[in-house]
Amino acid sequence: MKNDDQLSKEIEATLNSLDGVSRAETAPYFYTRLEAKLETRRVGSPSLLYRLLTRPAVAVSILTIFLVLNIMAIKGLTNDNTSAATKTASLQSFATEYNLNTTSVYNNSGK
Amino acid sequence: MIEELLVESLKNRQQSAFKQLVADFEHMVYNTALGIIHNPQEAEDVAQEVFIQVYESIQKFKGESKLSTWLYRITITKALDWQRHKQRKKRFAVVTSLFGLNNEVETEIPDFVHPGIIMENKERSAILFKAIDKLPENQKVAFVLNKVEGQNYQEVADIMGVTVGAVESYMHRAKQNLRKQLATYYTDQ
Repeated sequence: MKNDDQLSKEIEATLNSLDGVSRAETAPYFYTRLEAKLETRRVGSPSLLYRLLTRPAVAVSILTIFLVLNIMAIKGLTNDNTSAATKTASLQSFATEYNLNTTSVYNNSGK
Repeated sequence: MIEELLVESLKNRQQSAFKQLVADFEHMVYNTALGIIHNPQEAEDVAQEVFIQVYESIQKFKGESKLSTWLYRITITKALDWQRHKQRKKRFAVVTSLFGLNNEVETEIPDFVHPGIIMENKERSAILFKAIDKLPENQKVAFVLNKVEGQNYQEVADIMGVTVGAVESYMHRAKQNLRKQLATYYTDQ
């Protein structure tokens, strides 16, 4: 613990420690590094959308969703075909059972 | 090169003019950024960003202020943005580490020593820079421009776009806050 006088001397000395500071200088070849950075910008970095889509996690997720949707669509189509065939078959059997098979008048005309 | 001529050449996209601009102001821009950021590598990155911004937006420079004043303004804006971004990242890292999502440890340069400080003041200035870091932005900018860049109050006022009175007030409050922080530091020792 310091006494007040000592403390204020320390504080003032530290506050004045920037007196006579000289300017910090950049490392050599600053312009060359700057030019290289500018050149990279000029060539143009890929767009945000491109960068987002090419991220492995995003790309794999999109591919998976695409595949799942395709599989679901194919399954849906196949199910539709099967059910249509089943429906026709059951209707046919119902009609036969109750003798509802319509016969055209033209069919009887020959008899 | 006369300033108006340099600006005109810059507007005409002359490479030699840009090279001249960088040669004339690189140390000024770097030193100002370093005074705020306290990290040489990051200060250089900010300095590069400043010149890229100048290159891209020189058409907007109307010559109402000195070219150096305009450069100071861009530097301060970029340096403060950089610092805010870094603080946000640090806060986010703390939050994610609380949930065990992030095990990265933020490496911090322990004590910043400005390369332009004379030898016997290096230790004290490191303590001072730590205290400067905790000042509110306006006080920090005024203090750095005045003490690190050696700008007088009128020049600081022009750069900050405030009156000389406001700069005097920032400086007064900055010194008060620094004294308080230093008093705590030395009492705890």
